[in-house]
Parts: sequence; structure tokens; C-alpha cells
Amino acid sequence: MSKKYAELGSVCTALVLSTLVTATAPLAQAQQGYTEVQPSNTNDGKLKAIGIGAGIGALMAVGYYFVSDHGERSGKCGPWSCALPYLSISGGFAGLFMSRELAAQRRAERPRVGDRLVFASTNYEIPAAPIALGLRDSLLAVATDSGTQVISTASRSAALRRRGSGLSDVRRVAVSGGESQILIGTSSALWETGPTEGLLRRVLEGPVDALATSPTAVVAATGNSIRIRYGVGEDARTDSLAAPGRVTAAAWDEGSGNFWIATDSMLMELSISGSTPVLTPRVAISGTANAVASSANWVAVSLGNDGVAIWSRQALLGGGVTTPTVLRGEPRFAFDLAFLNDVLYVAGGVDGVTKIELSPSVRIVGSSRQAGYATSIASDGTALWIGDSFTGKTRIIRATP
Amino acid sequence: MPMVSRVPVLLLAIAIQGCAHRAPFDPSVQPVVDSLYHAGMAQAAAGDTTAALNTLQEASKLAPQNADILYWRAVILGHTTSLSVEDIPRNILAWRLLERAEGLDRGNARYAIEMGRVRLASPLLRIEAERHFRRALRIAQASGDPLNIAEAAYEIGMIKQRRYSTVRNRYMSNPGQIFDPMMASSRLHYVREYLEQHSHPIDGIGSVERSEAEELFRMALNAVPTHERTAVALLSVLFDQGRFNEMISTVQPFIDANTGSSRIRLAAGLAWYKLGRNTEADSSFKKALELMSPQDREDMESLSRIIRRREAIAYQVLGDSARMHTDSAYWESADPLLSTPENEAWLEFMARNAYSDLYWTDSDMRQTGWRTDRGLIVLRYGEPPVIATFTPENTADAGDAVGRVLTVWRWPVEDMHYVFTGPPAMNVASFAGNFRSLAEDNREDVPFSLRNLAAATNVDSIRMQLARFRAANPNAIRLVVAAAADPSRLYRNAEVADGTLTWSLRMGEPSRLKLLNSDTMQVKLPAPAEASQTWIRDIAPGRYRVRVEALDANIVAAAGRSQDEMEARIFVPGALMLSDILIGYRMNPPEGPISGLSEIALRPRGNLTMQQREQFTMYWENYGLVPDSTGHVNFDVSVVIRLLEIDRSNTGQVGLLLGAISDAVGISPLGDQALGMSYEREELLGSRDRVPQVLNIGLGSSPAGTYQIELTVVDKNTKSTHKVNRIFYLARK
Repeated sequence: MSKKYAELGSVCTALVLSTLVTATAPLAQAQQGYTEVQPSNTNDGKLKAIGIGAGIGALMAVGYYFVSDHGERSGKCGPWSCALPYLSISGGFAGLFMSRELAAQRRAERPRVGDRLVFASTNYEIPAAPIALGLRDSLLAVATDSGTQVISTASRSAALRRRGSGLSDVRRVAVSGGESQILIGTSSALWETGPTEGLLRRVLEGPVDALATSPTAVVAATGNSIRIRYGVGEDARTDSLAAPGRVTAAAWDEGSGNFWIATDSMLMELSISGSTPVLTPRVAISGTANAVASSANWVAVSLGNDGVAIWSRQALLGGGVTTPTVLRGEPRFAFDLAFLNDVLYVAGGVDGVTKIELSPSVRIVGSSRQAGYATSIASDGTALWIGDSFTGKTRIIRATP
Repeated sequence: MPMVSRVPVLLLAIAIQGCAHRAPFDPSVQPVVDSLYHAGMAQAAAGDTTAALNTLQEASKLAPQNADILYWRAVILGHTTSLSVEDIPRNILAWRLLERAEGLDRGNARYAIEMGRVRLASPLLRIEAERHFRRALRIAQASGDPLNIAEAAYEIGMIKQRRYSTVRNRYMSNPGQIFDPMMASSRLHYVREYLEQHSHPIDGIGSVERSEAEELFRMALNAVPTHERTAVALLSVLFDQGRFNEMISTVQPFIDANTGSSRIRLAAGLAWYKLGRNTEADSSFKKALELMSPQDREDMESLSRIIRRREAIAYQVLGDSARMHTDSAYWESADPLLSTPENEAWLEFMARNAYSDLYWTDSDMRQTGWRTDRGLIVLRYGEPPVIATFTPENTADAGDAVGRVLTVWRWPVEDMHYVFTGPPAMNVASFAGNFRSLAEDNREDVPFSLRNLAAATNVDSIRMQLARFRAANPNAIRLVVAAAADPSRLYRNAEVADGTLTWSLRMGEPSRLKLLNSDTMQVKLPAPAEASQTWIRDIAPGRYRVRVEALDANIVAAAGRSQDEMEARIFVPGALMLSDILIGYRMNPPEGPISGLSEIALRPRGNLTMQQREQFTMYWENYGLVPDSTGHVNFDVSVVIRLLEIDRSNTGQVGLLLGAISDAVGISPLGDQALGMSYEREELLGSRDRVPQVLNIGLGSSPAGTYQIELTVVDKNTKSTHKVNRIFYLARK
């Protein structure tokens, strides 16, 4: 009698244990929109895996009971008193180790802050790693070592064509106003070519460290010299002015109609009133800015290892509090950034693209790892264009978050 | 000391330690203790660890409760052991000392860190090290001790990184297959077939460990941004994923603080090099060499590892000055383009050293990456494009694979491979099987390959024409150097409207070139004709190397070079001598006698290449013709042009075969005289010291190919004869 109770007790214990832990651990939640929600429990599914392992062990023991004859079992390992606990416990251990391995993998793959995001996307293979992106209206220029790939963002097929190949040490690219010219900055000069035909022509001498275009002007910086070029071809005119430091990034701000210029220690605004360029220091930055971007309400710079610094436009222009919100850690290295509908997206190399919501408060929503090595990003107002330099899989990703 | 005698002594020492800490401390001996402690530390710093241990042991006897002394004794013991059974008692002693010290100084993470390190140096107990490091990290975080946070995080990170290094590039053999290094060295195509047919790569393996290692290294660097060992470890993780920009950011704090050893600068140089920023790479590598000890610097820069064995023996006995001269000449000749500010070949050499240093330098194993077997092969042949590692085997017939990881490197283009073997989770490997002797054999064939660099720089060969004349100063030689490049070829990859081509001329002793001229020309594209450049210089007699380069730095692969060696000899006064033949674009011959090249507008053809049916002009100067009584010189000129090689580049394989057969049986025009002419000339010598001649040549429908002009001049007054040759080319129209 007591033996029977013991057997029954073992069965109940194993089954209750497996049912309990399985029920306790939340099931993986279905994707909600673009967000893959991380399990909220802290045991990384350990209990669930132990339960599943133990359950499988118990089922094997039950199977053993039904398929074996009582005579065969006499004097050997009995299904309830021996096989069940043995298989349940070893199954539990196997589950534990597997869960630890899987948890480590999940930890390694998931963002350090926020959720893992998945954007609806379309990929466009390109022959070499994207170095920089330039986007204006419906034309995206992607600078690579094999020439500049030009993509129509308006066309559904986003047809690719190659322009201006052969330049060495390409650093920056931009599309001029009216999509009339593709501008390519190298370590020796600024070059210009038509988006569909024509040869490259040198338009400005000297290395190009930063490049931006407005509908009417091109800003190219070399060291601490900023040159502003108006017009195209023979009629073009160039103004120069000196920045207080080495210029590292430039961007056109559609909201204000001015350019943002980042040096190694300062964020400045370049306005062109009439035909006179005026450079106004706005705020000090700690670190070297790789890129600047602005939206209706925000201005942000990517600072590489130092993360991302974000200012409210109102504070920046109105002389209010200019201490930025600095986000570090996710991504670990901020290469480039772009705004889409007042939400900030940061190209973070192996950390993919990180989404940062700014209202009502600054918050890292999460990261998408769809790009293996995201080094550049641009926004056309409806979608993000991401340059993916992942070895052996270089491409442009059109993502709609 | 043999192990049998060492073990009891150390066990006795452990036992003594167990008793000693219970002895009361006499405060009056504190000055003696301090003195012994400082003396011991000084001895350790000077490298005399045995004396240091003895001195600290004396101090410990007087002050058994002094945690510092116990700690440093343990550190020295731990750092002077190797991963062998023989050293276990030593490790046990270190362990006991650390336990006692930690008991006296709770809340200090350094003891747990050292315990972890002792475990790492103890066979079979390495796996336990991580637990101690994690405990140390917790203690350090609780006490807010940034240095020990960095140390503990670094050590845990290294454990993760070693695991990652062991499994990365892992291939799985098909069931029943074991990679055999002996077969790899003896059977043709074995490696290729094994990697392609009998095994397959496992994607993404080790990525978890790599990611964990990176997080830990970043934690350490957050605590101490200039923690060098962590920075180097992080750099290797970043390099592995091609994250070169992040490598630069990682080394930036060291550069800003002007701190860090040569290893940091080597890694920075490697990152810059991979980013194509050669100026920064050059500067980082040079700084790294500056920071090295003289011995390390000499060893790293030595050419002996990349030249043939016999040459290496001769090289090693050179004095400092001769060695410097040899190094300089070697790198100059290896440089694909002297016109660029950096020597790309030297940068590649240094990048290979930096690669080996980053991956295989391991202080725990007392190993310098670029001095290892793997470092040697990388230095000679570059980073292997294909890397495969195979998991240790446990079958007795697996040879080098028993309990060891096999690493296979393959260079598919060269069809070359090497196999290494090493224990798992330890950054150590050496040649497997007989690959050491194979490496020596290969060294005799190809001591140093820059194939990857040649492909990257893509420099065209261009032709040049050198012609020597007598200078106005009879002790000098006037040299005409003409070079030409085809812009449609130089700019073949570029969609540019114009180019900026910089021509440079370098000349000097064969082992030392000097820049003599640099000229820039604008090239409108597409260019209707070749771009050419001519230099005329008077030089002293001697042996010279001449190098001409054409480079448009704005354009990828718009570069060409030409190099030649020549002897410049004095044209002996009084003897009949001829200058070299100078071939130029066709010009109308002067109507009367001329005194030199400057009197005619001859445009030399730098590439010595004419189109079929195109006429050209040859110019030479006769020296030492003896005038007759009327002041006239009288000489016979014979010009013979022979076809040396027919250009069959437009024929297929069959055409080449038939061409070779027709050459052999003599039915092709090969060797035929394409043109033979002779004439007699009489000129008034007057005050001239030479008798220049201009002759126009046309070869009609002669086939495209390589030709030789043989020019013979006979002075009819003295019966003296002199002969010169010139090779030129006819291109297919």
C-alpha cells in the first residue's frame, strides 16, 4: 500500500511540478505591431525549461509503464519509483542547461535598453559597403567605393543606377536642390555629376569633411573652413567662412531654413540672410559629432562612443536650458541619425537601428537588428533608408517603423 | 629544482604559513618589516623574483598579519608559475596566502582577482577561475573600486573571449571524418576538398561569448577608460567584426592622454589602415615602434623573417648602418608607389604584425603574437582569407587533433594552406604535422607576398625610354627620360571629365632613389592621345635606378609606374662612340647639320610604341668621328630592324599554337629583317663636338610586335665601328 502511495506521490509531484512551472512562466508573447516584447520574468524561462524537461522525462516514464510488462519490470527499475524520478530529474537538468544557454543567447542578441524591434522593410543589394547617404526629395544617393548608387525613393521599384564611379576615398555624398546634381566629397575635392548622366566635375578643391545641401546652396567643410556654393556649373558662386573648430558634420534644417554645423566642440547654426552667411554658436558639445539631424522640435547629434546628444529646438534657439539629454550604451556606437515624425532613429553599427521617442520624455524604445552593421541612415519623411555595411551583405534597407 | 624535491619543500612552506599567522606581531619590528617589504618589491621590479619571495617571506615571518606582504608574495608566486602539474604546490601556496590576506583585509577585491588568476594557472582548476573573478567584481562594485572593477571585468571578459576564440571559424566535419594535418601537407587538394566537401562552417558560433566579452570589456573601460589590457582585448573583438571606427574611438582616450604602450598604437594603426587612412596608420605604427624596447623594435622591423634563409643569415650579421641601408632599400623597392606619402608595402608589413599582436599576444601565456608560428605566416603571406577550426578529437588515431584544436588557414588564389594545432581555450598554437618544414620550403619560393596589396593598389606598368648623350660638360652624361601613359587605361574605372596626373621622376643609386622632378598635368577626358612627360638631366657617371610614376590620387587605380637600371658611362673623347637611339614622334629632318637635340623639336615617345604603318623619327649622336684634311667627317650608317616577337594577343589559343609552330619552322616573319638600310654621309664637322643624325622610319605593313633597331656607324676615315641597339614596339592598329 505504502509503495503504491509512493508511486502515486511521485507521479503527482512530477506532473504538478511540470504543470505549475509551465503555467507560471509566461508564454512568448505574440508580436505586437513592430515590437517584440521581451519576457518580463527575470529567470529567463529557466523554470519553464526545467518544467518542460521534467515533463518530458515524466512522459517517458509513463510510456515505459504502459509499454513494458509487469513481469519484465520485477526486480528492475520500476516506472514510478525509479524511472519517473530519474527521468524527470535528468530531464529537468537538461532543461536547466538548455535554458541557460538560450537565455545567454537572448541576452546577447537583445538590446541593452528597450525592446527588440522589427520594422517592415525592403532590401536593395549594393555592390560595396555604403559610406554615406544623401537624400533630397525623392532621390537617395549612396556613396560606396564602387561609385554612387542612386535610388529613386518615390518609385516603388526604387531602381538603382550607378553614377560617378572611380573616385578614391569617398567620404560624403549629397543631392543638390531640385535633384539636379549628385555631390560627392572625397579626401581631395568636391565633385559634381548629374543624377542620370554626365561625367564627374571637380567643383571645390580640398578634402570634404562635412557636406550638406539646401534647395539653393551646398555647404562643404574642410577642417575649419566652411564653403557655401550657390548655383551650378559656370554660374556658381562660392563664399567661405571660418568655423571656430574642425567641422565634422553638417545638416540642412528644413524647419528653420538654416544649416546645422558641428565642430569637435560646438554645435552652430549657419544662416544665409540675403547673400551673407552667418555662423551662430548655439551650444557646446562633448565629443566629436559624426552626424547632425533635426526635426520640428528636436536637434540631435551622434557622438560615436559618447552616444547621442539631444536638445529641444526651443531650448536651443530660445536661449533656455541647453544641457542635452545624452543617451549612451544603446547603441554602443552612434554612427548616424535621422528623424522620422519627431522620433529619432540612430544607426548603431552592430547594434542596428535604435528608436528613441522624445515626447513626452526621452526614451529608448528599442532596437532593430535587421541591419547587420548600420552605419548610415536617412529619412524621406515616410520611411527610413539604412546603409548596411555588414560584410558580404552590403545593402540599403528601406524601413517603415 | 626537480619536482620530487620541490613538492615537499613547498608543502612544508604551506604548513609553516598555517602556523605563522597565529604568531603575535611585535610593533617594534615594523621598520624592519617595511624595509624588507620595500626591498622585496624592488627585487621583484628588477625581475629577481626568487630573491623577492625570500625577502617577503622574511617580512611575513615578522609581520604575519600584514595583508600587503601576503598579497604580493602570492602575486609573485602566481606570476612565476606555468600551467603545469609541477607548479601545483606553488599555486596552492599562493592560494593559501591569498586566503589569509583576504581574511585580514575584507572588502578588497584584489585577493579574489588573484585567486582567480591562480586558478587560471592551475591545471584542471581553470574552470573555477570565473567564479572568483565574479566574486571579485561584486566586491569591487560594492566598494566602488574602479580599478578592481576593471581588472575583474577584464578577467571574466578574457575567459569569454578565449571561449569565443576557441570556437570561432568552427567547421564541423561530416560523420566519420577527421581532418588529418599529414594528409594536408602531402596530398594535393586535400585541404580544399576537405573544407568544401567533408565539412561545413557553423555560422554564428561563439557569438554569445563574443558579445558577453564585449560587454565586460566595456564595463572595465567605463570604470577605467585607459585600462590598456582591456582596451586591447576589446580592440580584438571589434576588429573581428570589422568595427574599425569603433576601434579608433576605443584608442582615442589613450592618444588624448598620451599614454598606452605600443600595443595600443599598433591596434590603432591597424584600424586606420583598414579604414584606408594611410597617413594616420603610418603615424600610429611609427609611434608604436618608438614605444617598443630597442630589442622588440629591432625584431619587429627585421627583414630576416621575410627573406630567404640564406639571405637572412647574411642580413643578421650586418652592422647597424648596413642594416639600416638594406632596410631602406628593401622597402623602397617594395613600395608600389613612391609618389604616395606612405610606403604601402611597409604599412602592410606593419599591419600584419599588428594583426598578430592583437590576436595572439597573451601575457598569461607569455606569448608575443608576432613571434608565434601563426604570426610568422601572417607576416609572410597576409591574413588568411579562409580560416577553419576543428574541434578536438578523442580517438587515438587522430594524431595532432587529439585533445587539441586544429586551425586550418587557406589562401585559395595561391592554393596555399597551413595547419596549426593548440590546446582549446588557450591562445596558443603551433605548426601541426610537418608544416614547420613546409613553411621553410615555401619561404625559399616565396619569402614575402604582397599579392593582396598589389590587388588593392592596382598599379599599371608603363613604359619609359632612357637615352644617354654626352653632356656639355665632358665628365657628365645627359640623360633623356621619357615616359607615357594611356589615359584611357589609367582612367578606365572613372567617370570623370578631367584628371590631374602627377608625374614624378626618381633617380639614384640602385639602393637609394631621390625625387628629382614632380610635375602635374591636367588631362581632359576622354583623352585623344597618350599623356607623356620628358625630363632631361645631366648626371655623373655611375649606376642608376630610374623610376617614373604617374598618379592621380583622386581616382581609384589611376596609377602607373616604370623602373629601370642603367649604367651612365663617360663618352671617351677621341674614340668613336654612339649615343643611345632616341625614338620620337615623326618630325621633318633638319635641312642642314645640327649640333644637338636642343636644336630640333623632337618629341620623344615615352612608351616606345608606334602604331602599325606609323612613321617615327630616330635620333642619335656620333662622337669621336675624325675629320679629314678638309674638316669633314665621313661615315657609313647601317640601320637594321628585326622583328623579335609577334604580338598574337588578338589570337585565341589555337592561333597562339599555330603561331608558335610557324615561328619554329621559320614560316612566320619572326627574326626577319623588317627594314634594312644603309647610307654614307659626309658633313663638315666645324666646331661641333658631335655629329647628330635624324632619320625617319616607316615599317609599312609589318606585323605588330617587338622590334629591335641595330644601328652601326663606321668612321670611314679611321675605319672604327660602333654599334647600338634599341627595342621598340609596334601596336596593332
